[in-house]
Amino acid sequence: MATVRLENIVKRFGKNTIIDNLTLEAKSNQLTVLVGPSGCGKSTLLRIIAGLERIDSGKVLLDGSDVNDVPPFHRGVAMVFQSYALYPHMTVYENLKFGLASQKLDKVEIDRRIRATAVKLHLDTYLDRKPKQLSGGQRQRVSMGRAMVRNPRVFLFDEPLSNLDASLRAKMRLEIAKLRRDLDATAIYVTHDQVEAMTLADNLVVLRGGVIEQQGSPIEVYRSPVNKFVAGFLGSPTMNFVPVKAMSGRCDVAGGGRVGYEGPGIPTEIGIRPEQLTLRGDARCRLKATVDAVEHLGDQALVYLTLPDAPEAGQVVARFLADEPIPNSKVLDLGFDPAFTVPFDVDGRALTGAIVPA
Amino acid sequence: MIRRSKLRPFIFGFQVTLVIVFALFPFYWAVVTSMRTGSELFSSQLLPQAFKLDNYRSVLMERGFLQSVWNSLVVASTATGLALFLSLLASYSLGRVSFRGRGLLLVTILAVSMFPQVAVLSGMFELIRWLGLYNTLSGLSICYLLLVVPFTVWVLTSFMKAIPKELEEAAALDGCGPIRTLFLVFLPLLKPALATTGILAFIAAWNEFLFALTFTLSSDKRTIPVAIANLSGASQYDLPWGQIMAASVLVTLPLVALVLAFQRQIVAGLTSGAVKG
Repeated sequence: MATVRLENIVKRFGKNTIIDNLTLEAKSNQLTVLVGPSGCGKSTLLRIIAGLERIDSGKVLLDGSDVNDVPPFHRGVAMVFQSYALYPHMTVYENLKFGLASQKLDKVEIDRRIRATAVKLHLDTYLDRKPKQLSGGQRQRVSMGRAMVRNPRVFLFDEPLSNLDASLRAKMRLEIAKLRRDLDATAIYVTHDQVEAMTLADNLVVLRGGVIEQQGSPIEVYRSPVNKFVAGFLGSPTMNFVPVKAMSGRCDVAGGGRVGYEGPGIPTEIGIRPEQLTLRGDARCRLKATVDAVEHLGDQALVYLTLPDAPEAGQVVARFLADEPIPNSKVLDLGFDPAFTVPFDVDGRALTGAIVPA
Repeated sequence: MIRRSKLRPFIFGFQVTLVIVFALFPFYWAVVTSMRTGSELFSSQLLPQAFKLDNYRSVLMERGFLQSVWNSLVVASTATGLALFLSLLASYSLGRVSFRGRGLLLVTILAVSMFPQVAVLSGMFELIRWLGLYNTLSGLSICYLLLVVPFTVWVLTSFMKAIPKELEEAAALDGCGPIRTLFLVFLPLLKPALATTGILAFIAAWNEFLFALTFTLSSDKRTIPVAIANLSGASQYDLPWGQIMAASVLVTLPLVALVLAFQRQIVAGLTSGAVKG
C-alpha cells in the first residue's frame, strides 16, 4: 500500500485561497481523517489527491513520485462519493465492472473479483439490480465496492455516510472500520461528522480555512487540543470555556473556585469537557453555577448552566450519567479534575503548562 | 359547498373536451374530407356520408407519390441523425466543459435560428448551387440539418447540464476519457432527451415546405409537402381537395407511429437512482 504526501499545496478559486500552503502525509495502511467545518477545504483536498482538481502550486506525491500531471485513473486511487455517483443505467455487476474494463484484465479474473467483492459487501444477491432498485445503504455499499474491486493504492472517501439516516450510518461506520482492517489499505476520509472522525481515524487532521490546525491520534487531539477552535470542534456537547483571572500562580475561576497554573504564559480561560464536570462537591477544584435547563436523554442527562460571576462566558454544559441524582436546586456545586482541563491564553491558544489544584 | 364539489368533475371534463376538440378537429376534418368526392366536398356535415377510399387509391396511384414519401423519409432521417450526432458532441462541450466564450457561443447558436426562413432562402440557394447540391436530396438534408441543429443543441445542452458532476468524475476515476464518458455514461442517460428532440427534429424536416420547394426541381426529388401541393385535378381550375386530404392523412401516419414507438423513451426518469434518491 501507498503513502500520500502533499507538499506546500496551494489552491485558489478565483481570488479565494481555498488551501494555503498545506503539507500533509497520509501514511501507508493508515486511515487519515480530514475533518473541519464546511468550506475548510477538506473535500477540495481530497479531489486534489484524486486528480479531479488542479493545484496552483505544490506537489502531490504518491509513493514518492510526483503525480501532478497524471490523470485520475492512472494514479491508482479510488473514490467513494457522497452522492454515490453510481451509473444509473447499469446493473450493480456492470457498475462494479466498469472501472475494471479500463484495466487490461482477464475476463475470468474480472468476474472473480466482482463476485468476491460483492460477497464481502453482502451484495451478491443484488448483482442484477439497477441502482434505483436498491436502498440507500445498498447503494452506498455498491459505491464502496466499485472502489474496492479495483484494488487501488489509495481509497478516498468523500463524506460517504452523510446521505444515510442515523442508524444506518452507525452500522455502515462499523462496516467501514471492519473492512479497513481486512483490506490493510491506505485511506483518506473526509467527514464533518466528529463521531466518524473519532472512531475511524488513525490520524486525525483538523482543518480550518485551508490550513491544518492540528493533527494526531483522535484521543490526543481530543485530550490536548492546540487551540479553542479544535477544542470546540471535537466533542458534543462542545467543551466549556470558563474564564479565569490569573495572579501570581493562582487563578480565580469564574464560578467561585480556585486553581493553580504551572508553566509559561498566562491563562485567561480553562476548557472543561462536559463529562469532566461532576456532582461531587468534595472535588478539589470547584465551581458554582445556576441551572437553566435539564435534558434527560435516557442514558445520560445534560444540564445547561450559567456562571453567575461571568454571564459573558455563556452557557456551560455538564453531562451526567442518567442514574446520577441531580439535586433539585437552583445552584449546583460542581467539581472537576484539573488534569483533564486545558488552559488557554488570551488569543485562544492552548498553553503548555498544567492546571493544578490550588 | 357540496354542490360545487359535485359539479367540479363535469367542469373539468368540459374543459378537457374543449381542448381536445380544438386540437383534433382539423385532423378529423381532413379525414372526413379525404373520404368525400365530387360535390360532397362542399357539404358542411360533420359526419362522413360514406366510407369511401377512392381518394386514397388515386393518391397512391399518382405518379411519384411513393417516391416523394421515400424522399421525405431519406431527407428527414439523414437530417435528424446527423443533427443528433452533432448536437450530442456540441452539448457535451457546451454543457460540461467550461471555456471562454461559452455563453456567447450558445446565444449565437440560438440567434441563428431566429432568422425567418425566407430571409436566409436566397443566400442558402446560392450556397446550395455553389456546392453543386441543387436538386439533390443531400442538399435538402444539409438545409434541414442547419434548420434543426440550433434547437437540438439547445435542448441537449440543458439536459447535459443536469447530469450530476459526480458521474463524470466517477467515470474519470474509472478510466474514461471524454469520448467514453460521453458514449458509455452520458449517452444512455440522455436517451429520453435524444428521443424527444429527435422526434421534433424529424417532424420539422418531414413537414418543411419552403426549402423543399426552392431547392428541388424535378418531381423525382420532391418531398411530400411539395408533392401534395403539386397534386392537380382534372382541370386547371379543379383543386383536388379529397386527394390532398387523403395524402395529408397518409403522411401523418408515420409521425404518429414514430411518437408511439418512442413513447416509452420519452417518459423520462432514467437518471433516478444515480445519486441519493
